[in-house]
Amino acid sequence: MLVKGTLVAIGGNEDKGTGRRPLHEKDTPQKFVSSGILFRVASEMKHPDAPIEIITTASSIPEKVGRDYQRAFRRLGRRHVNVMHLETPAEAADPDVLARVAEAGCVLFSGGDQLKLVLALRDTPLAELIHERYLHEPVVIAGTSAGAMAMSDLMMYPGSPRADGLAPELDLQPGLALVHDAIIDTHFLVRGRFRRLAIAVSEQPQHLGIGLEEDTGVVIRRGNQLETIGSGLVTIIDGRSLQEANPTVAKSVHEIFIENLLVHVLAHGNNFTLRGRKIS
Amino acid sequence: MQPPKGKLIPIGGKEARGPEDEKADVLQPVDFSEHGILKEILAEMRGCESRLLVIPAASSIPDEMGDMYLDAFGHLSCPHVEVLNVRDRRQADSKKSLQLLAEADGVFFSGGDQNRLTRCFADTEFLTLLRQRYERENFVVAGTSAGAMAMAKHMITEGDSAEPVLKGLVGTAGGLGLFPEAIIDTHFMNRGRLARLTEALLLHPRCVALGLSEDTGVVVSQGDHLRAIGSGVVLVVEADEIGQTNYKRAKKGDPVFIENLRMHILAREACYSVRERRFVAEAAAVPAG
Repeated sequence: MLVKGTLVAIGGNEDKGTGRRPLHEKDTPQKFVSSGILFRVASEMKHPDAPIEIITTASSIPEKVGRDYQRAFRRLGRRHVNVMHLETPAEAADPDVLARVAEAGCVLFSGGDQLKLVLALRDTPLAELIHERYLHEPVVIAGTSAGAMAMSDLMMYPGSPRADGLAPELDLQPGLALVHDAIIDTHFLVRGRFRRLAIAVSEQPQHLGIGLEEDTGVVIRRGNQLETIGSGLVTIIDGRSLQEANPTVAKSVHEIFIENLLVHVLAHGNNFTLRGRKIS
Repeated sequence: MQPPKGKLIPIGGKEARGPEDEKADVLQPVDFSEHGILKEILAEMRGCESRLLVIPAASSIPDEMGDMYLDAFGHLSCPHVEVLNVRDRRQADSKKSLQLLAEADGVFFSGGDQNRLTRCFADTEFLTLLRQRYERENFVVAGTSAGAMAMAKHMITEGDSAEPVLKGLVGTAGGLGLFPEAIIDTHFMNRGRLARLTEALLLHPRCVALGLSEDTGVVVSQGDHLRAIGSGVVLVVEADEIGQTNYKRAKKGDPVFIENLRMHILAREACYSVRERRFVAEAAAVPAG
């Protein structure tokens, strides 16, 4: 089945047109009003006048985050930008909320805590509505930082520190499953997250790792065609060849040996197919 | 050509310098006095009896740096550590420097500026003797941060850290050439240097690129066989199977895309052969002949 909706997953800290210099300004600069990430989110909408719904559930400072996005999209000429902060699954079943999302041309999940977002939404009528609309209608579903990490079927979540003082384990939790067979990580280069995504992929090698740098994102069309946008770099980690077992490694007792990751590095404008796992 | 008989030990910087530096928040904490990096260096020579020459030539504060390593090796009860503080080629080739080098079991290059280090030793008798001893004897050349980067033939000299792969971001210059098959970067996972390591590798695609995390290193035997040491991980990047890329035709400052970089992650005790481009058994094979 062909997916009709468009997904935009963003690595966090995208330019919001406030005049603050974006992280990768020197690299592949994008103009906020004509090629930046939020411009791309808005321009993927089929009907420019359709409302944009910002879901700030992940955030601990939802009022500020909501206002920032309203301002940013207004700078891009979008008037109908609404904010909803849903704390519980009950609130995500509210008929008014459902009616608003049913009318929206774009839904954007803000950053914050991805588990908070998923626990409030998972298996709710709202999640189901977003999923159905994404499959069957030309709606835009965007997410930044935690909001992007929550989009894949497996979501990374840092576990609690262990009693023995070792580094917290990284859990993989079920996410909102808008992207299949993928694990999305964000703030990827600035926070040096290659290792953690590589470990997650080596644990789940049928899943493709998608590492999104800040102010960088991917537009995914038809559930398969990925286009890189923004000022930074997207790192794709393909663990399929991990399964070609090397007997030397198989015998080893160590946990963190990872042999044969295929890595692709994508910049603004590059296209990649998720199913073919190739630059297209 | 015979493989070198000595060992190279490049380190990613910030190696534990005493028990207080043991890090708990890492994937595999390491006991400083058992398997700490400095202990591993001594173990490759003659343990606590080793005569080690610390060379803080890359550093802008060589005296402090030298004292710090005297302290650090003091924690490991290794009394035969000396600091050789040379600032230029003339001092490098002084009788005393050459004498100390001839008597040592190994050297340790501190961090600092890798360009300062190579300027200090380029075309010196000191470097010739160092290379000879490394090639012909069980001699150890260890180095951390800048001291590790300088071991390569194609040494990374500049390049911003957390930025995308842009053509022309990274420069390489002639290093000490002890490990010609590798490009070496340090402070790796901590400073997000994947892009710069990748571009350096694209400049020299026959090499393998080594990204050494802080408090992490590799022991290189026979110029080929790597064994990871320390608390972090080593990223190995190979360019042999690169698919589509615009690197060759990109202009300076253009973003670069690359398909099919092959990568491996090594943690302590993992072994990798540079020639075979794969993980290998733990013990280094006995050289033929």
